[in-house]
Amino acid sequence: MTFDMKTAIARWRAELGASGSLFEADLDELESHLHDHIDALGEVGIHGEQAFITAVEQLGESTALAAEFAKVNPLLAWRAALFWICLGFLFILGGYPLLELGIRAVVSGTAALHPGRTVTQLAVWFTALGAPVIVLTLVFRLARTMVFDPLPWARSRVFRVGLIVAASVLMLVAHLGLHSGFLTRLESRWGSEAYLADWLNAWRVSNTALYVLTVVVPIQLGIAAYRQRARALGGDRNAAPLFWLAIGLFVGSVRCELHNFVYGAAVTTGGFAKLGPSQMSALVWIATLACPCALFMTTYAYLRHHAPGPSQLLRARAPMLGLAVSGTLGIGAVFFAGALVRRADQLSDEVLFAASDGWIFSGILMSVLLPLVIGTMVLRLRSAARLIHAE
Amino acid sequence: MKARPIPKELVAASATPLVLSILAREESYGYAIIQRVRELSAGRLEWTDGMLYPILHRLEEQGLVKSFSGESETGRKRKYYRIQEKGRRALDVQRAEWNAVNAALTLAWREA
Repeated sequence: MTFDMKTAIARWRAELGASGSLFEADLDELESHLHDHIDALGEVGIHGEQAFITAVEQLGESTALAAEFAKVNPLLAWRAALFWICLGFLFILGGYPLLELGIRAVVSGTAALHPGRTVTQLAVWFTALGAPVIVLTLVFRLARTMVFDPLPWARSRVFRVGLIVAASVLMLVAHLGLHSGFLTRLESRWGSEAYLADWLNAWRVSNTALYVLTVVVPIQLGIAAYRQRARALGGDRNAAPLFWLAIGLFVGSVRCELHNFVYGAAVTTGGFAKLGPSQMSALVWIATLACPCALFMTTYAYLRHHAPGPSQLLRARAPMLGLAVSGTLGIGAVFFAGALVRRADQLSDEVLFAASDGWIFSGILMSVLLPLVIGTMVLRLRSAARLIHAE
Repeated sequence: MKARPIPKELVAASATPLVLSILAREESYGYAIIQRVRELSAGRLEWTDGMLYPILHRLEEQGLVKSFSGESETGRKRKYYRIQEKGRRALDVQRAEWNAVNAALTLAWREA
């Protein structure tokens, strides 16, 4: 077989690129170096395959080279892990409003149909606690089947754009539906006293179930992360993506809790400072929007400048400890925020309404913007996740 | 007798000041920088060629050098590097450090 320089260089480039640690520009630069060296060898009478082999050897072994580049491009090394983290985060982001809608539907439905106390309780507990736990278990099952080629149907551009638009519209509708009073008006049509009493009872049960869910989900995800980490350390290559997925789901669920906590803390602070309605609204807006932005930016800066590679972080104990601490904090925050907001009930109605409007609308803004940002990231990072695991 | 290549710890430590010194003279590109290092060290500083690029990229990230695209003699696209003012200052500092090490060793050997 005759040696073809073009094919040989293309193959060498593809192999190095598959490591996922080099930008296209890095590959361009190395390829240009290879050409320079091959040209120089040609001048001393070394041509063809011999020149190619010498130049590639002198350039360095691919794995060592990729490792060196991974140190300068930490974000690149993080792409695959980030894909799974964002996917998990996105799932909770979309799932939570759907869960709220589902609970609302069950509460209204049981109040309208009067199926009896036991059935109502069972239905509410199942929707608010059982269903999410089952869904999360299924998510891991599904993810395991596509570790090597995640979201295969996202190859189509129409699907990608459609998904993001649909997710944002869905979020907007869910939030406006939940908070604009549309559902309340619909429900009050049935408005008999028996209906209202039943509705309130079912609503209280669902609140209790949601509190339990707040405790159960971080524990479930913590255990999942722990198990996948153990499998990854045991040499199972399918486990690392699932570990990062668990982290993403975990961060997503703790985020919902922290959002409430930030609101509670802002309202209480504003209460102590005796803020007027418009000041209170501004404070809530700033706090609920600035906190996630600050979190996002510090994470980015950390990954960009200081972070060890994802595989090192997976091995380290600190992230597991961080998981336990943030889980505990998140759970604590929910109960603490409840107490804070009760305290804030001493505020005047006007101030309280301003605060809750700020909270609701900043929440709506976030729930439309976040799926857009995170969804775009997921789709952009998908090919990196596939490349790195397909090595 | 052919001189032994310099151990890799020393190669790594001297890489940054060497690259900065070469770029302080004139702007250059990866392959030419490596050739220049070989010339300067009479072949005793053995670099694995590819390792130069992460070093260059780190220097660029620190703002010591700046890259720009140009063309080779044959019209191929090529990435060139140019030293920055910050890079010249860093080089001055490193030169003082290496001179101090050199002076200490020279003195120690003279006394020996």
